[in-house]
Amino acid sequence: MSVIFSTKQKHPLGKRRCAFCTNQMKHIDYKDIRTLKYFIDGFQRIKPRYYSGVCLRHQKVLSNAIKRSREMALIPFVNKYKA
Amino acid sequence: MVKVKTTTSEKVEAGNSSLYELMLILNPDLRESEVKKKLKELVEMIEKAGGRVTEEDFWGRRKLTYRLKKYNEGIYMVYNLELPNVFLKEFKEHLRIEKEVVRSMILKLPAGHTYTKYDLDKPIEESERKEKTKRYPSRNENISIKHNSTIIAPKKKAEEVKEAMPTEEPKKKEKTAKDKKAEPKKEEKEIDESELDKKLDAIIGGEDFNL
Repeated sequence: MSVIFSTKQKHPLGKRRCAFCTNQMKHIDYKDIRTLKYFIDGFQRIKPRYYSGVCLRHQKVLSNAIKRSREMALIPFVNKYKA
Repeated sequence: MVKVKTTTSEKVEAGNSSLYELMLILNPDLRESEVKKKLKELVEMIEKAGGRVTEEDFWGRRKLTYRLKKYNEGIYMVYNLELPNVFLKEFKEHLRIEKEVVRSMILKLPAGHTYTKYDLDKPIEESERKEKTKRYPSRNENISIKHNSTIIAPKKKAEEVKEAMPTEEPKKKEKTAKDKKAEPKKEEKEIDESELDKKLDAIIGGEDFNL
């Protein structure tokens, strides 16, 4: 699968498209960490829609997938505390 | 009371079976042979109840992103199962009680699902990063790409295209040759580790060995 994701705001707001719609992905897998990581913050929080450009339908599926992979310890809930 | 019982049993019988995905995290202190034994037991239990294993994927040892039951590592295993609906509740309870299962999750699969394997720890390659810049090029980049790109080549005459094609092929060959050189080294290391593991298991896993 050569799926391209980019969440950087290179396009103006109106022209940005949902990355999942352009790749025609209906089902987002919780095991696919590499794609999920594009939609996670530096603080390991789910990126809001106005930042990543994901459409509402996919954002709901995506957030479910991220939460599931968190539950199985594939993605952290928060960053590790370093003293 | 009797009426209620009959209704529930009828519902369960009518439901038959459906597809699920099961992910397990096993205790990292288990040896290879013990892991195999534990998984065999589980599969046998599923098949006794009338279920079926459609897909297996052994991920092996992985670092956990946070501590689970005082473990920093876990042995991951993914199954795609066809389970009878009667059995599901019992099976979940069994996994919860099982000592060696650190955590488990069962999901219902969507219709027409096909299992795909992912390279989880594979770093993002430079080629993918370049593709990103191609997709949303800036003005300066756009001009540079036009000169080298093959997409614009078909617009030129057929002779020029023929000249352009053979120059690209040797580059690909070089890349593949480099990959081949790089691969065997990794394999040797893996083999060594796996052999060591087997030997250690043979030594420690013997019945004569007592601590």
